[in-house]
Amino acid sequence: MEVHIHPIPDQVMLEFGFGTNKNNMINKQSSMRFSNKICVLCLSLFAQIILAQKTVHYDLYVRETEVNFTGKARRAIVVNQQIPMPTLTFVQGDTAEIYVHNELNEETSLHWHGLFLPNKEDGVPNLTQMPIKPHTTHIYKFPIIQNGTHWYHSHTGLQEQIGMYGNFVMLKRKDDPTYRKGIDDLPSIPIVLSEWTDYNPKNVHRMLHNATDWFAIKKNAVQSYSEAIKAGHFKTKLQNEWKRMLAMDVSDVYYDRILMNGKPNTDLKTIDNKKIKGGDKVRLRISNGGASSYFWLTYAGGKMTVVASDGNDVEPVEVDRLLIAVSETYDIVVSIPADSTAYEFLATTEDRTNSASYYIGSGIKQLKSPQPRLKYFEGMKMMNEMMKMNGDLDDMGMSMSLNQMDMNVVMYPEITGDAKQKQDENNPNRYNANALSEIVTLNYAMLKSPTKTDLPIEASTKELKFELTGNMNRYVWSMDNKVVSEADKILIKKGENVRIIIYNGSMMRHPMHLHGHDFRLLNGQGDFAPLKNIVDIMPMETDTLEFNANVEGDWFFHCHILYHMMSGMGRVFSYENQEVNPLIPNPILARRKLNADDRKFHIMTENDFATNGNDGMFMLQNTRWSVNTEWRLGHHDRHGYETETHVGRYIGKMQWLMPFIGFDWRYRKLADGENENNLFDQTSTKDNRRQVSLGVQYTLPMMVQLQSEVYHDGNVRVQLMREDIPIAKRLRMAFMVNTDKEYMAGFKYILGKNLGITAHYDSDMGAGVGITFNY
Amino acid sequence: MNILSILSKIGMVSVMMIYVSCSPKLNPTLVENVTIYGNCSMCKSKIEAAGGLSKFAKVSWNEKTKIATLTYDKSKTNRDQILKKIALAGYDSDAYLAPDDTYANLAPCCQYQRVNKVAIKEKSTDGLIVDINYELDSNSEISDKQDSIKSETLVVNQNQTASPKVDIIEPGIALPDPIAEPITEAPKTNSGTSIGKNITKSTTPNRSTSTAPDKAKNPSPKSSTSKSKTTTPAVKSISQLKPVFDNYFALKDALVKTDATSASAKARTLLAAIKAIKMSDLNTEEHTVWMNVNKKLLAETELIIGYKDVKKQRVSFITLSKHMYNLLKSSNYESDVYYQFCPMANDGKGANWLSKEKAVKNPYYGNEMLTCGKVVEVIK
Repeated sequence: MEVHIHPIPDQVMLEFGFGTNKNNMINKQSSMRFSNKICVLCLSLFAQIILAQKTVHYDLYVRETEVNFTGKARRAIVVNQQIPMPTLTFVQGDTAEIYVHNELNEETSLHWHGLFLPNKEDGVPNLTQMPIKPHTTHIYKFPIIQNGTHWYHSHTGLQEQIGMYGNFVMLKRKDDPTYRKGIDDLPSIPIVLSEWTDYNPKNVHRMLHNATDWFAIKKNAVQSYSEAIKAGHFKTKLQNEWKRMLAMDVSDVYYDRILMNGKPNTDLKTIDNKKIKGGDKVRLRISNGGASSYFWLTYAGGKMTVVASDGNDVEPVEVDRLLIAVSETYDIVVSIPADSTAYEFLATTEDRTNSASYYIGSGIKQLKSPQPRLKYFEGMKMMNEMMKMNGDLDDMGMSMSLNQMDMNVVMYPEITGDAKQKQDENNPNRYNANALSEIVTLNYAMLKSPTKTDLPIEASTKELKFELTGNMNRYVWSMDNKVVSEADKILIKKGENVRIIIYNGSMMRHPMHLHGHDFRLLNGQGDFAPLKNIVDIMPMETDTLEFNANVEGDWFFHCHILYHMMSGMGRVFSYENQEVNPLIPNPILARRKLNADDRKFHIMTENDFATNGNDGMFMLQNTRWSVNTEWRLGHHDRHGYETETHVGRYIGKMQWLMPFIGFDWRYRKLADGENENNLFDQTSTKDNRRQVSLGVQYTLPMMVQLQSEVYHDGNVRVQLMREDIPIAKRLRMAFMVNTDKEYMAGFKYILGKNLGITAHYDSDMGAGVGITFNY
Repeated sequence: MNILSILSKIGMVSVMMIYVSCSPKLNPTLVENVTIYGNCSMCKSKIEAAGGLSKFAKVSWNEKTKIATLTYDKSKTNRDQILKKIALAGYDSDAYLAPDDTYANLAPCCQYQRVNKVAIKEKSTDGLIVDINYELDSNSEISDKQDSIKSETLVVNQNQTASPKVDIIEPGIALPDPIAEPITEAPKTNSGTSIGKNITKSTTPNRSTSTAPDKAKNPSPKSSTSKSKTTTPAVKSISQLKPVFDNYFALKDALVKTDATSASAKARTLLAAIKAIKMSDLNTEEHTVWMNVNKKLLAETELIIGYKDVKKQRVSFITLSKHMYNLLKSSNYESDVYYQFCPMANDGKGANWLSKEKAVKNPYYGNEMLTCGKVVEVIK
């Protein structure tokens, strides 16, 4: 029997219709005959109840539209006219048949996150299929052979950030031997968490690569020198810069809104038309569909019981709060303690700048106290202790894993007290949130599978080790210091057990996701290690996971922070001698297109229109390469005109070293009798010079750039420079001095994302004030 | 074009700019009256500060009527937002209940009666639903101080914070049943149910649906007999109760160090000190309180002596501290004593203790959270 379901919910359609009348925002609303569809919907629901084994059909129409979350209209992608994408529900044993109608003017794809399926249905463009071309339809068809809470999202570019995420629920059959009375029969609601930014995500990605501090300004987390002094942490800040670190934060991007099922605030008064009343229990199926945000989950009605993670059952565990990593899912049971009261279920970003709420129950709203602001300078101090001078991390003898020791607790006032209080430095538990306070925070060691999850013992084991690497300054994220395009596929054999040991040597946490398989996370629960497909690894942690290689194909294993993934933080597992994927007719072309993602160049440019001249720069850079042009154009010949271009390649994990080839052109009319010699007594040819140079740039402690170059006429120039010294929240200082006896010092006040005012003094051009535009 | 005409144009532009910058004030402002629960002038300032939003929203709260007048620019904010902010500062309204921990951290004088709190349904194991008198203790902190003589009530009141949490017994959840039973009602497969609908521009202001809760269902809060403070600052000689207090402080220090053996030993000397008190030597005021607390002090001290587990000792210490506080209030001590409070102790219900030092050293957690807590009262 085949059933067709068109997931176009009537009530939402009506609301959209309303919006359309008023604002004419939905562009191409056609081909929707919805009285028909409601009929089919009812029929199909009925059919689903009596017959579990069947093909369930969904039509998904992917369209571009404008949305308005903040008061400003912005481009978004909607599926069946909604954000999030419609919830897709199946029963284990069904066959899914999903038609994706791409009505965009760009390519797309859909990945079924956490699902066991044939590789060609996995939805990774240029790896498991070619992208779905504009105005074509692609059919995904696969059997549903598991149950649990999952989600789905676009795997193309940055589409996930602007609306392409949705709930994907596979229900357990009632005759399943693992069916849990009191859990699997509770009223349940799927909730997908996400974030919204008014900035174009491509711009966000570009700004991250340019080490922008605009997001920190928006979050009030710049951690400048004056703020450090005020907090009594001047030494901490100094040491931090000495170790060449930018201000630390737990998240990279500032978001305007946090959404739960597409809304910042939701009243949940009924489930399946049944009113929620005091004494009830509700199962929340939470997926983190955020592109780069982790969320703290807390509840006003008492403790929460975690019953599943990444779609796999776990023994119920009671917690006060948990942090859900990007792309993880958790099933949580909450109780409604009293009648006539709605209890707040709160999702707060890890940096605590924003949140979204679900009010569960009907009546007066019982709030949950918000998470207090982070003690950033405590975090900075902690990072100073952990960071060695060469950029490696030092765990000081604590072997850390499974989120049990959370270095970030030093920043959490609710665990470690107010900013003023001093921590006991010798306490072995000083990073263990659960030992330090009454608040129970979930960690991976607390997850236990209700059934044995051990792997076939007769199979051989292949062991792989990875280090997660990267640096914040250039926003390069990699594994073993190689990005996807720089590494070969990792070959595994069908039938063998694969054990992966991952160490995070970078300064950010990374949610690592494996496609097509669940792995056991070795967490001290023996044969009952929990099954997951995401593992969040904090800096300095080592985690071990293992799985049985049982489905052929090319499977992506990557960091699920969208901007890290697009920077190339991943690998591809591939089975030896596997069958050719019919959806990849030209594997070489596909691979080239896949590699293009992390090879992309990012533009950065800036120009200062000042009273004494016109200063600016233009930079193109990617993972390894940098092309950089600077110019200083005076208003008259005396001040001179000069440009410098450097083409270089970054070397090493921390990318402090960059050898380059330079091109120089300058003209400056010297006054009579004026003669310019450099510190090495070489005569400068500044009045009219065209030079090629060879040089190196190196980032010194305090993040001062040391540039030494030799020009083809034998002249040598050594230069020290630092821009963007954070003096106050919006005030930056810059200086430059070189052996041509040139120097510059200046201040910049940041007005907006692309605008600032400057005041500077330059040895060639004198003092000036100006307006800076940057992109 | 001469300079004059340019100047006049600049003038015109600046006049227009002034006009533009004035225009926000022309935005329609709304004035509304809402009930916000609170007690005192301290509450007033906190409520008004929490609800205000620079020049866009102003809150003026009347201590007597509990009515707040909200004046706000409806293009910038709304009633719901203002009430939420006030609730997050600790004050209930008819739309929002303050977070329990925020309420518990209000100064004792601010801990108003939470009439909008609905009784928690306790599900006992046999499925009976019992309403628990929620407000049982809501005034214990205040009454503690107001009538220290009536310490009898304190025996009932284990909790010092005003928001006691009633644990809900949850049948089923902790015991997953591996045997699958056929269930007649299938979990509904509401395919395509969508909640997201934020795609429209018509963001209607989020009006709260302030359903006035059924107050009749609320158990009537215990009326606190308001009695003025009885402590008289008369000149007294050093009380003979001093050894009792000294030994109590020693016991507290042992608990700060999380040292069960030492705590047990200190409790033994405390017991001796308590037994050594001759009632006839106490002044009238001390005498009255002593009659009341004597037996309880002995009982808790004996428990502490017996316990090997510091956790259990700490539980007894909560009650002991409470009685000791009453005793100290009736008596006098050579130096100032600080009555301190940790909101997290006693399973999050909070607990007090007495200390000679102002700096917080938490006897309920020791090193785990040494400095958690605050001074709630200085007993001169």
